[in-house]
Amino acid sequence: MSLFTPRANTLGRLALLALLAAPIVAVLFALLYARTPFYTNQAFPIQQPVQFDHRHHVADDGIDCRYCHDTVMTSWTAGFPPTERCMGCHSQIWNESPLLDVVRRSYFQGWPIRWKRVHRLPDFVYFDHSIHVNKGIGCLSCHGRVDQMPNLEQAAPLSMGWCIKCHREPNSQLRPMAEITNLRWTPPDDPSAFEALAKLYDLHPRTSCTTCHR
Amino acid sequence: MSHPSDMPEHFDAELAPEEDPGGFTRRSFLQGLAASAGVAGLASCARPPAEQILPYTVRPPELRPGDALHFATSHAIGGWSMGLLVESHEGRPTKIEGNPQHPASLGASGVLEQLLVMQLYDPNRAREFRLGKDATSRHKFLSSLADRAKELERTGGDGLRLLIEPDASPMLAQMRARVLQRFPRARLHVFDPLGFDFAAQASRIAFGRVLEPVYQVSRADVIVCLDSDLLNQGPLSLRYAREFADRRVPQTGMNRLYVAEPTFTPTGTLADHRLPCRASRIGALAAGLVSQLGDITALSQLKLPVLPLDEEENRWCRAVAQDLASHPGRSLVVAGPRQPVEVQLLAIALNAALNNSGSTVALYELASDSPLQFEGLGPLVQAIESGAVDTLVIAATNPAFSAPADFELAAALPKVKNSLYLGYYQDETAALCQWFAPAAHLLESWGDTRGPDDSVALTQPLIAPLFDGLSEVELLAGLIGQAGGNSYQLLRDFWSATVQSQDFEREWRRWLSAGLVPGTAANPVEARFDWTSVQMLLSAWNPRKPEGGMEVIFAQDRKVYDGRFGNVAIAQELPEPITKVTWGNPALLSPALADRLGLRDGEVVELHCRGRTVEGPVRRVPGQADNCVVLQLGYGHRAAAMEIAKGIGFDAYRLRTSQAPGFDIGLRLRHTGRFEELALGQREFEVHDRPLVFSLTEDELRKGPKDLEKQRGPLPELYPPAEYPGHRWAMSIDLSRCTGCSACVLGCQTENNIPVVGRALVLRSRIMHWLRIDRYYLGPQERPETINQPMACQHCGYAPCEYVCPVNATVHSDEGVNEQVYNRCVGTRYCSNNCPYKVRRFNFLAYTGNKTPLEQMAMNPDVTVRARGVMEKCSYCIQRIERARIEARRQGKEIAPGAVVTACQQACPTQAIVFGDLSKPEEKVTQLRGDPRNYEVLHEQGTRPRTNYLARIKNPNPQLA
Repeated sequence: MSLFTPRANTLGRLALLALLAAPIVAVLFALLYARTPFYTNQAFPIQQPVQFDHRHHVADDGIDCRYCHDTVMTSWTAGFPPTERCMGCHSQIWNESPLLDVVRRSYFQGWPIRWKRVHRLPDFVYFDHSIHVNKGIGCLSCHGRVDQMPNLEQAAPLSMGWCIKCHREPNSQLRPMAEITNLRWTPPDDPSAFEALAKLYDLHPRTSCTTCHR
Repeated sequence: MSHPSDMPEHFDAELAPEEDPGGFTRRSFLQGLAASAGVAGLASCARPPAEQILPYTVRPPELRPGDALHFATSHAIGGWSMGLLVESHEGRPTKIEGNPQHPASLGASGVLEQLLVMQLYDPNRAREFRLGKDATSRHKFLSSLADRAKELERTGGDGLRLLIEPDASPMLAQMRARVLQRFPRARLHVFDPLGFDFAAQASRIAFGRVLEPVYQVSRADVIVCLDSDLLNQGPLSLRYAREFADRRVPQTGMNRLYVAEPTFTPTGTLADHRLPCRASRIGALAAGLVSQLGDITALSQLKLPVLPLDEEENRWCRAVAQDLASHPGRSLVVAGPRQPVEVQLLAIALNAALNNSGSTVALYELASDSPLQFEGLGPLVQAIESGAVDTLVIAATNPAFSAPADFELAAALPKVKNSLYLGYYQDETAALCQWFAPAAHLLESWGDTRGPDDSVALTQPLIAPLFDGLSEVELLAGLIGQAGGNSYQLLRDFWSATVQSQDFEREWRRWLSAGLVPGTAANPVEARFDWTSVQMLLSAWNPRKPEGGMEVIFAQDRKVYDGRFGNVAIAQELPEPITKVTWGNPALLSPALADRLGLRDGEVVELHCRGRTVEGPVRRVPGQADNCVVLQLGYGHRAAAMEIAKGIGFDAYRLRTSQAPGFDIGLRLRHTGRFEELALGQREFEVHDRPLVFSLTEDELRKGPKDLEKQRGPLPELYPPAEYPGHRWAMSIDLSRCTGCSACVLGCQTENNIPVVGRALVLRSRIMHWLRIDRYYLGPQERPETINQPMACQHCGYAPCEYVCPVNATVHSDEGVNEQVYNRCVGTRYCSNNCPYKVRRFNFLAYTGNKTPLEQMAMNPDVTVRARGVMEKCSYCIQRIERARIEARRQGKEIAPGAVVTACQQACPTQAIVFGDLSKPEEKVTQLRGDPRNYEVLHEQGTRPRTNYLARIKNPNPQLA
């Protein structure tokens, strides 16, 4: 009796095939994995030390993004609101809510609230909010429907490919300056409107490495 | 670890170690290693820990998060004011520039200014107050000081002495006066190892009072420097350098510079005629000039001793004298500070006789303390020896290290019963004093400074004292029982009492914003030159005849100053502007002398002078006068707490006596047979007939020199040339202006977070500077001409580095900038090998990996901190270009001409470096492209560099040519 049954041949061939396919599968897996939210950190709501709800502040109260993120038009950082900004309203309303203990303590003791960063770019990336916003890229393009997030999460992959795609073809993301922070704005169907905007903003998106890496 | 139970018992016993060594066995270690590797792999699946954001609770109104703020302040190293502009990122000073509004800076900064930030973040700086051997707190220290002061007050301050640095600060002057008020029997002593009072003495003889000269270099057609580094050392040198350089443009009436000096200085490198001349011969030269100018009646009154000159000196004197005589009122004679009173007097007399007073020389009367007002260190040491000093308060920088050797201050200090030292480091002096207080850094303290023309600048802190240090004012306030008063309050009170303004608050803010107190500048005074008393002194002049031995010259170091910057690593690693030595201070001698003595570079010799001995390596400097040795002061620290400076170089102070602080005769060298390799920033100083640098006269330039013209212009193209439709960034470097002072190198280093590698790696040519200054000697070794050539990435149009990078880590931008992408770089170093300019730098080690949090504070947040294994190089300060672009584009504008200033350009005192956009005809860099002096280095290689050079133009005297 021979040691190998006829099935062994098939098994052997399959094994060889698997051996050949393994590197390809591995590469494919890596490529796919890099595109999953798990790798890009998307869709992971992050719990903050204060239960701050963008849904309430943005959708219900209708506060403009720039009320808190006040340097978004002028600086590379959008600006994280100092505690005094919170207290501007919350010294009047909800001023005894236990939910805001942390905020009050920060304000009166002078220690910062330790927020957790949601949108993290690597240290070698020099992103500038002001130039994007001033050239008609709205908050929505990168941050998504913040008005629908109980806990803020990263909406876009923030990968270099994603950045570059828009730097090459930015028109579809343009919006009029009046709608720049409007998360519910619906873009017009007419592509010529975008072209007009690009002309208005005198758009020259750059793709040189040093645009972002210095 | 258990063994299988069926194993024979003896087997187990045989294998078992006699004693359990404890910890791991090899097997369990390997098991653990495998397990942790596995777990580490798993860790990559987990989310990275969330980064924190800590916003302000109350944001300062002037602050826009993310944008740097600039604050005006000033320093007074050496006594006089220098205006600074400090960049601050969210309360953290990172970079120092010059204050464009300040008359001494005009926007430029020197080497010392650039070092200040790094000194602030020195991890070795002193942190603890000390009473006796016990560490204490600032509060306890000040209360003990107050107690001690009360005791002293009872005796009127008998036995109280203060040792301070000369400082023209009005507030300090007032505080010192108040100290003397409370303690009428106390005495102040002034000590500055690099200060000489010869000029002040000469002024007192010539004018009857101490007047401070300020030169109007821009008005001078003929400048004679007698052992003076006019353009590089001294409180106004940045301004002088700018004024001088602005007159080095051909066809616009160039000035002419004569320099007689013992060894090359940055000023000497720009000289039209340079005479190597021992420091002790300068007097004879000055006398020669006076006698050649005997036709001028005023000078013919002076009867000078006959000092023989050799033929060359004679010829030089004749030519210079004729040139001076034909430019009355438009010439300038400057004697270096270490030259004796007689030479200073001759310089003053020459300026007076040539009608330069009032035109190129402005004299200012000092409002209060003149350099001669206080006693020096000598009387203090005598008093200590006689037991007259009970309490000594030292606020001068490290006198035990820098005092003249014959004072034996280090031996005397322990004899003082109560000694207090306010020091920045636990240095040599700290070890000898009972009480110690850490000094606040300049960037941590309030104060004021004053220029020679009495104009006042304010000093404001950029950061609260990191280690609770005291400033000198606060220490003195403690002495007069105002320990609670901080320096801010003291300064404000002083100035509000001084100006008596209705609206002081508004003026105060305006001063702080400008860094200057307007209206404080005095007018120059008219002074009558007293020929009789000058003649009286000069007739008794008996210059020392050369005895046996060589001349030794003590020189101020251009990097560590008097030694106070010795512990700043970037200072140690900066190639010395002339010798290119890093990490050390070899004894400098002429090649001829070295050959006679059979000395190679780096050979260690014993230097004997007047019974004192030090040991150090030698280095030959072409163009140095024969038979003299130049020693740079401020090296060879011995204090253990100064980890960087300790043991670097040798201490030339130990050879320097109070009788001859400038230069002395009687030095002898002895071979030791040992050898110490010098860590050089540049190893080749010859051009080997290659067209790298050009030195021409105006006439030669007019004729159109063929070899220069060959180095520019279009080259054949095989492919259609690349299009650059937008900005075209470019640089132009003027070799006529560059003094080689190296401020740009440090400006670049602090701006771009360039690491320091240390002596061992400099020896392996792994220095990291993106910008270096190449120096080439042209002509014979004894009388060479030398040219400084700043060399950084040339941003070639056809860049050799780009062709060979296998991973596209170095690429060309659409604006012609050669970009280095750190994250793509895998470290093949092909680019560096293929770069004909050798300007690429590789991170062989993780230079930035182990920085302490304190050192990390110095990092510029706008530039990536590079890791090990990547290549880096000059980026044309791309972060500044992008910042300017975003500023402009945000407002819908184009980048305005002049909006981008690179770090090197900003620091440069002479504006030798010009940066801009070639697409704009109004940019200076574009206009300079059409200059007949314009050329490209290695043009024949076809690299099409974006950095071009302007050939040096000299203005020689036809008589000496």
